[in-house]
Parts: sequence; C-alpha cells; structure tokens
Amino acid sequence: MTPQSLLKVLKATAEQKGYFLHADEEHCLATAEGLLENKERYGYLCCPCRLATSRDKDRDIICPCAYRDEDIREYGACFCSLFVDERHRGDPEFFPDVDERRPPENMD
Amino acid sequence: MNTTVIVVVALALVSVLALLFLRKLKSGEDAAKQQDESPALTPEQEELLGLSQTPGEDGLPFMFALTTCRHCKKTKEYLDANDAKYHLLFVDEFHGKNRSDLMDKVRSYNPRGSFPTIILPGGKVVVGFREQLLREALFHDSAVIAESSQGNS
Repeated sequence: MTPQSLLKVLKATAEQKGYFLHADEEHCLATAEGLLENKERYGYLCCPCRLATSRDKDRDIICPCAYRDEDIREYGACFCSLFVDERHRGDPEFFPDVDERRPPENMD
Repeated sequence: MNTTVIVVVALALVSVLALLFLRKLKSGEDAAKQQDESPALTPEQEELLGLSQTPGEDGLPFMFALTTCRHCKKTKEYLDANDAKYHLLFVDEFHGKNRSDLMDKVRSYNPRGSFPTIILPGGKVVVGFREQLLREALFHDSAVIAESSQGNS
C-alpha cells in the first residue's frame, strides 16, 4: 500500500463521520508514511505521534484513534492533525496544540 | 445422554484453556525473542542513552522524539533553522529494557509520555511543537543570561 492509497481510504472513512483530511497535503503524506512505517515495524497502523508497545495494548491508538472524536470536538483537529473538522478543512496552516488525551496507564 | 454432554462440554473447556495457555506462552516467547533480537546500539546511541540520564545538565536542550512524529520533525526543523544546538534521541530506535527505561525517563518530565518532550537547561520542559515557548526559553532566556554575565564581569 502506498501513502496515497492509504490516505484515500482514511479520507473516505473520515468523511462518513464529517471529518476531513488536513489541507496541507505534504503533512498528510508524511503522516501516512509514518503510519505505513509503523505497519511495517509493528504490524498495525499505530499512530505515528505515539510510541507503540503491542497490538493488544495499542488498540486505542490504531489510526483512526479512539481519541479522534473528542480531540476534533475540542481542538478542531486530531492529535496528529491528520483529520480536521469542517471549519478548518481548507486551512493548511491549522496545527493546534492538541494535548495528549490518552490515559498514562494505557501506555504501559 | 447426559454423561455424553458433560464429557463433550468438559473436553471443549479443556481445549479452550489449552489454547489460551499456548497463546500466552507464545506471546511471552515473542516478547523474549524481541528482546534478544534488539539490534546493537551505535556509539552515538550509547552516548545519547548516557546523556538521557541527566538531560539538560550539559547545558544543551535534550529532545526525546519519535522518527515518525510530525510534531517532532517540525520542532527539529525550527531548532535547526535557528542554529540551536541540542541533543536528539529517537525513543523508537531503542528496544526492550532501553526503550521502557527511556519512556520512564520521558514520563518523569512529562507524565503524558507524549512527543516531542524537550528538557531545557535549568529544568524547564516543553512538550509538543511550541514555537513561542521554545523561542522564549532558548533564545530570550539565553540572551538574558549572557547579558547578566557581561554585567557581572
């Protein structure tokens, strides 16, 4: 799978929930590359902005992560800023500071 | 008839328990295998691992990052564009106990364990790509320190 084809899949599933890929295409491609690198290394699409441990422990951070909805609701973008809300869909400069919402106990 | 049912159920239960036990055994073996197969560290990684024990104490910022993290890349680009000197350790390049020890270290400064986590000389911690915080901490603070040193000499 290429980063472009992965983005196509993520875009389609995101739009079903009313989300959009970030307007900065380079950022999206680089994030998709990170996802595929993690798929290669660990066997699953672990969020590239978080450290992977195991598939069992990381179910909540397999992209799209379990925190996406709340992050987009609060900040307008997910933790990696790969997905944004409608309000920011055309803004390539929109990179909010999204605080990590994942409980620390999930990282062990 | 009832005896047959009981025997079948008992056999099914034993099979499930055996499968679960074997699965657990395999995951333990995989984890041990991963530990054993950790690649040897480069001299640079060894040095960074040593420095990570007391980040910032040599007078340089110390950044814990991930190779796949976009926020980390942006932070690095910002620091490089401003000719800042710093140490950069990619936690995901380490394995086994080294990796878990590094995560403990990251969490000691940033309980959320997120990236990048930058420890500045003096103990200030910056989490994420925070351009303004970095500018203030790295460039404003160091200028103030330089000025006061000149005043004292």
